[in-house]
Amino acid sequence: MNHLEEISAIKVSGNGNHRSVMKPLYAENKELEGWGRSNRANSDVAHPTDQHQLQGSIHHTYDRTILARGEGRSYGDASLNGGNITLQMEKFDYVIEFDRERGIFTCEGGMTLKAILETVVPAGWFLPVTPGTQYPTIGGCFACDVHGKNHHVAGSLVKHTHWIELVVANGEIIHCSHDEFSDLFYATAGGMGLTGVINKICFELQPIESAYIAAEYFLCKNLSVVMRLLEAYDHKYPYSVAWMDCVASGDNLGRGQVIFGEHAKKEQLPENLQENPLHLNQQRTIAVPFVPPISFVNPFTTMIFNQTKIFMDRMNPRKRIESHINYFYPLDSVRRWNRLYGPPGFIQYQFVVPNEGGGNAITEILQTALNHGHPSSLAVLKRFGEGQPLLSFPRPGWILAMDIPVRAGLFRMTAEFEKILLEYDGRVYLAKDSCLSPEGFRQMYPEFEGWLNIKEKYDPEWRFNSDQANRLKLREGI
Amino acid sequence: MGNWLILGATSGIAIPLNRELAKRGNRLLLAARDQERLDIVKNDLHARFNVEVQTELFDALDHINHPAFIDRVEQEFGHLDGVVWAIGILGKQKQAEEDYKKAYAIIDANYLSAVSILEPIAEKFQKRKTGQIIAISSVAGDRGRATNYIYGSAKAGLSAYMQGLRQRLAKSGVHVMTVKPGVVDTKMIEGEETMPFIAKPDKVALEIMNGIQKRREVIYTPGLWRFIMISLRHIPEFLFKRLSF
Repeated sequence: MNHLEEISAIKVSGNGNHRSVMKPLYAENKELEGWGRSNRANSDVAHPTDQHQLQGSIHHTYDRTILARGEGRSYGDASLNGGNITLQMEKFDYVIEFDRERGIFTCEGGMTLKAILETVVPAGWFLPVTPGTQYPTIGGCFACDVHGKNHHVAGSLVKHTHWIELVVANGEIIHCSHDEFSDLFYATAGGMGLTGVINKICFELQPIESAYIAAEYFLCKNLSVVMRLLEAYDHKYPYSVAWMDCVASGDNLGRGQVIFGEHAKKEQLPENLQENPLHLNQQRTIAVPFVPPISFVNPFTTMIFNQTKIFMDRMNPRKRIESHINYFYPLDSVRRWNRLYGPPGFIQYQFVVPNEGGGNAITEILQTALNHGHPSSLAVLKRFGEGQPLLSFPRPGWILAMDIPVRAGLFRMTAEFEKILLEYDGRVYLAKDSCLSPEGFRQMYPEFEGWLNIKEKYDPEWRFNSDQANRLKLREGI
Repeated sequence: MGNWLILGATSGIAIPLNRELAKRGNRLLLAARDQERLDIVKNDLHARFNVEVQTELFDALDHINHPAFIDRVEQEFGHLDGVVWAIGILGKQKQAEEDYKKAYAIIDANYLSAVSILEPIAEKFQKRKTGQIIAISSVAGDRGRATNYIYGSAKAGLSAYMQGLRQRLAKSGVHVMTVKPGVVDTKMIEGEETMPFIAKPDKVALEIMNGIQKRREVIYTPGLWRFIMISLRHIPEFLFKRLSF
């Protein structure tokens, strides 16, 4: 630690004759990066341990802005606060209550989905919705209002959340829910951490009989087959998604694999698993130990990877029983896989387009990527159900998420994507975003004005800010 | 499985160690001086592992009442099968050099208090011919250094105390384990400059748990520190005194 700064010193009273303890909170200036590793920023990073320190850090830093950060799994600049203060929330990882009968879980905002799953799965419960990795914190997930492969039937996280406790700009703690301070509640879901720090969260779980998923895989030769299959069958399964091979072109443009799934019932399991259906062995993981000097991901390696994947999948049965870890979090088996993209990093471009005209928009975007020689290395497609108000991302239509290596000319291409999306009334997911323009944002999120009114009601001085908010010029209004 | 008393249950290393113990079905009695933190830790353990957890306020510096504390605990909670001493303060070396009271506070919290509470426990375990006593000492006790010798000497005292206790209780079958962590990422080192090889508390707790299960005598955690300290201990004094770390 080369630069230390005491950002707060709050007196915490002890009990009875026990001594009061001064608990100063220290910050260390260091560089943080988004998960895509293409956005970086230096800030003063502190690790508060309890809510007194959290409140103190807000009181004692009036001349600087603050941003809470979980595990840093958002891809772009949403978790960065260059030149200001970042509160790392990993020490807020306590479970407050777990109602094993009714499946209601209350914990602090810094608890990771992985830790939550390790607690609830053995008791026969599962997260109501889950993103494609188990490493983010639940607070970060709420701030992005995450969705999962079951969005078409289950909606996003806010729908399953009973209440949150938010530390707001004046240091107060506000308990908000669908009924109390509901404006703040909905502005925080998808509010990217700009309304305050999520201290506690209470949400409901879904019951499961086993820790396994009964999955069905279908290989489809092009985009229209993929879309027709999803349209025809996704309402029959709680989970649906399609993996896309974005290198394929011509007649095979949008070739992909549709994957349906549901939580396996006990009797669906092979006999050796039936005895202890909720038990899973620890997942074996490997790590990418350092950033290689050049990227391992380019159109050529992507093509080889995709061909191998398709070949291997043909060998496997169409119906499979998989652990929920393998089904939901295949990439988690390689820790720090984001390093494979080498020093320049990568971006993820995720958008939703309405059902009407969605196919054309996706075709145009895939074709644009191929024309620019920047095909996505990894892409998934699925259909969304009903959305939520304000800045929450999901709304009915098709979503496509594409990982794209950073190379010269990338941002010319994303500018073209933006133009296509605006034409088709699409919108970009802020949790992944690193290149949206302020004008594009305002057209894609027409409820921004309503959100801004709530934000400025609770945080008139913009104590909570981020690099993303600066890039999108949120403070300048509509 | 058994009844475990954790002294300093809200400390940075104790928190993940509590989880390792609770995961394996042990009943826990958490002792520390801050009831608010104790309740948070207790609820967390109960929710995660569905095990019985109790709390008890404990002041390590209140030596006179330690024997009574242990009697009360055993009456309310049942016979103890294991005890973890996880209390310690790093203090500020510079201030301790200038002010004896500060030096005394470091020695008291790290050494005297441990002796004061572990003796009556050892007595009971010796009579019952069973039990495990685990104390978290430090690599800093392996060799005194200019930058933290007050803390280091108190930890050296604790390590030597544990050594002696181990020999005394060997015949009774009581397991006595000294844990010597390197630098661990807890609030103890918050605000300190330049620390080498910082370890995550989760990893340290898991290694302590393995030591408890395998009934090891002295463990360095992370294991790398065993070799660092072997080399450090073997540097001749005339050379060591000229070094600046």
